[in-house]
Amino acid sequence: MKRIRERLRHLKIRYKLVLIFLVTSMIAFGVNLFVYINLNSMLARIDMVYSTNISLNELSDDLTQVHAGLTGFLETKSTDDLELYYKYSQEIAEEIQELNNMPTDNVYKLRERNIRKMAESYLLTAENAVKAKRGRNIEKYTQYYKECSDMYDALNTYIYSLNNETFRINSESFNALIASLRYSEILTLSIFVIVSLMNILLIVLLTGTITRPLTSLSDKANEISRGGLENVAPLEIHTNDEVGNVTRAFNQMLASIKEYIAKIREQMVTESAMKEKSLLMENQMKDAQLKYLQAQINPHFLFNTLNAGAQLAMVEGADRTGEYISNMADFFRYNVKKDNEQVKISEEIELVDSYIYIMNVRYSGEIKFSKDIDESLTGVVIPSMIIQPIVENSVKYGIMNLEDRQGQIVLSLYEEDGFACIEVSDNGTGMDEGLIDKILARQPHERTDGEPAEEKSVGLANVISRLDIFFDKKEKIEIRSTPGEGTSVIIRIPMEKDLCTE
Amino acid sequence: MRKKVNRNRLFLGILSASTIILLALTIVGLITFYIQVNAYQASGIDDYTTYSKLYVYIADSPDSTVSDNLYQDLREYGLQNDCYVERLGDDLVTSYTKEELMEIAIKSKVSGIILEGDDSEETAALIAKASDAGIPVVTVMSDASNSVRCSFVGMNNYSAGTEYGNLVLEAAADKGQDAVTTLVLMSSGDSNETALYMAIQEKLSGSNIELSSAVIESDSAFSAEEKIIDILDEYDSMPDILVCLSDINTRCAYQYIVDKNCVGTTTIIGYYDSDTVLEGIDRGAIEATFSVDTQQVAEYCVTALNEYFEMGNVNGYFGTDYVLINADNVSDYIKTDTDTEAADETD
Repeated sequence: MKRIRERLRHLKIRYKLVLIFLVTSMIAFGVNLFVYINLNSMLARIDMVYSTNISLNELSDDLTQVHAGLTGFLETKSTDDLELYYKYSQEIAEEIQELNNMPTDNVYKLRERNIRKMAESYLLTAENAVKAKRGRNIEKYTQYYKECSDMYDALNTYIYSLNNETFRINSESFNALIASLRYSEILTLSIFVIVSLMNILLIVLLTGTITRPLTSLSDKANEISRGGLENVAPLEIHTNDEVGNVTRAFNQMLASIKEYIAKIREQMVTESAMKEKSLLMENQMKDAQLKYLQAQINPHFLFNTLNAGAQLAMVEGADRTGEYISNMADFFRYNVKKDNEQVKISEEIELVDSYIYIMNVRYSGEIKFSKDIDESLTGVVIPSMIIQPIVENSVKYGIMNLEDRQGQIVLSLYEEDGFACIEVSDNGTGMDEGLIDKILARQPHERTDGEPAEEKSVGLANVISRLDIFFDKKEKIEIRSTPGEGTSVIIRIPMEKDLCTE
Repeated sequence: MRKKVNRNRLFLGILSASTIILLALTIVGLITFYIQVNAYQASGIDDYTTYSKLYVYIADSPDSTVSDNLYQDLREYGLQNDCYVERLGDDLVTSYTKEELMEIAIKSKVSGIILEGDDSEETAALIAKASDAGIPVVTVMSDASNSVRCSFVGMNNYSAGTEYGNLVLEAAADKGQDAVTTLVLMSSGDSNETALYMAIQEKLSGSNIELSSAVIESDSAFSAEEKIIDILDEYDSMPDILVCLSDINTRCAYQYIVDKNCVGTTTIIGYYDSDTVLEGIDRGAIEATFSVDTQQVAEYCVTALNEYFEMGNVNGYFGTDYVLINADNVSDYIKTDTDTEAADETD
């Protein structure tokens, strides 16, 4: 049953329709055939009812003819009569073969047997009479004829009696059969009506299995056209026919559309986040540059004039002045050139070198600067203007006001736990915890001396903000400070390939 | 949406249920139709059992109760022994004489004939003719002593006559008259009855009983009753005792004495135990009757014919018992009859 149902599911609609037509037609045909065969057998039986009477009448008629032939032949020896006698005696001989031959408890069949036996005796005696007539034995054929006549009378009586009785019974049978036939007609009509109704219901049921999925599909399509695609559930698939295929495709299409919409939405979110980030970065950069430019005299003018100064010093043999001016020129060149935001750490280190040289010339070599550089990391890319502001902070707020000892700044570049670490340490005055927390919390702050922060330099906060933007906050900033002993600023940059190397 | 699905399911359920109901109706309709069409088996005209032999029973008076009862017993016993006994001439549109029926039986090539015999030469000739055709004839109740019948089944006339004589003597003694007139009503007057009459006569010889006889020939329907009236009307005074040797004579005589108000003065000694006769005994109008055990007679007849076919010959005489029924035991018979009817109704 399950297998048949499974097979039906896989059938094409065309075959399904043919199947429905065949099933209903077969039912109608089967019922018709059944009724037809039965009614036919009934009609045949009605036809048969009087057959016994008909055959008995024929026998009686033939007997009359035989007896007439015999009488005529015995009277006149006429050939015609003899022919008549032979013809009908032959027919009688055949007809009585149909009659019962055995003793029975059925009175009609018993009478048939007696008629048959008597007819046989009659034919034998008649034959003897004919033979005696031919032998001209008058006495014999007269005696035989008398016997024949007696038998003829008895036979007629028997046939007549049997005919009467069977006619009575046959009439009863006929009436009963006719009544039965009428009843059967009504019954047949009722059956046809029932079968027709059943077939209609069957067709409705079976075609329903084809149209129902189509209706569901159409309803679903309407639902989608009204909007609210996301809340539309996929259709259940009950069949594997064409409608089943269409439904499956519809479901897939629905799922694809939903997935596509989700993707687009996600993409839009990412894009807007990227845009936001880029804008913020740009803002910060602009802000830094603006502040830097505000802090510096026009670097181009300075750079050109410094170059001229350096050349002049060289011509006049003042090498140290020339070197000093040249370093200053480098320092300003960096600012002019690196207006783009990404630089290698090596370039930043060069800037720090120039800055320290300038500061040492300015403050008569008060700053002791040393470097511990892992050369393999100098190619790591970072935003520009990161290390120099930190060093500048160390100089300005760390070691500048030292009186008891010489100021010392150490710049280290090393790798630790997959991070490139840039560390700027000084032995300056240090800073308190509150300030460190504020800086690390990226909050703008004011100096304790009342000087507004970042007025003339790019402050630490600015540096950290730009690092946050550039590395998506994946970098780590650490500030270790002991007041009166010094400060270390460590920037840990993730060594991700795309971010760090070029 | 859920509502719509539920409605669809309900609709589908109703549709399926209706289809199943209609399918069931169709099947029931077809079965009913089949039963209806095939229910009527045309009258049972074709239902029958065949038997190896056909015997015919030809009675003197087929309508008499004795004949009728004997035929029923013959038929019943025959069926038990693979032979069918037909009462020839039954239900035919023409009535045939005994002789004509014999002729028909011979021409119908029956297996055997059970015939109520008589002394006529014609009967003897027909028995001879049947015998020539290989059909054995057994005479029953009354013999055809001068024929070639193979056996006779019936009462011994002499002993029956003696019993009748004894009953007459008893009845005469009851009357206590000097001279008692007794009339014997015979039905054919053939040798059987004559032998019986002789036995009565012998028994009554030397008594004060005046014995006479009359033959009631019932050569046509209803003639017996008319003849009995004619004969009895001739008497100035009714005979004291009437001895009837046939069932029909007994019944007619009984009716006559009832009509003539002679019950008590005329004593009837009858034959056979038909209902009317038993009623007569019960009312005291009939003194006594002799009954034949038809079942025994039937058994002997069929056995005689079967034996003849098996052995080639058979005992020439089967003596049957007779039962005396009088006022003392008549209630048993009436009761038995009532019981039989009751049993028939129960069946």
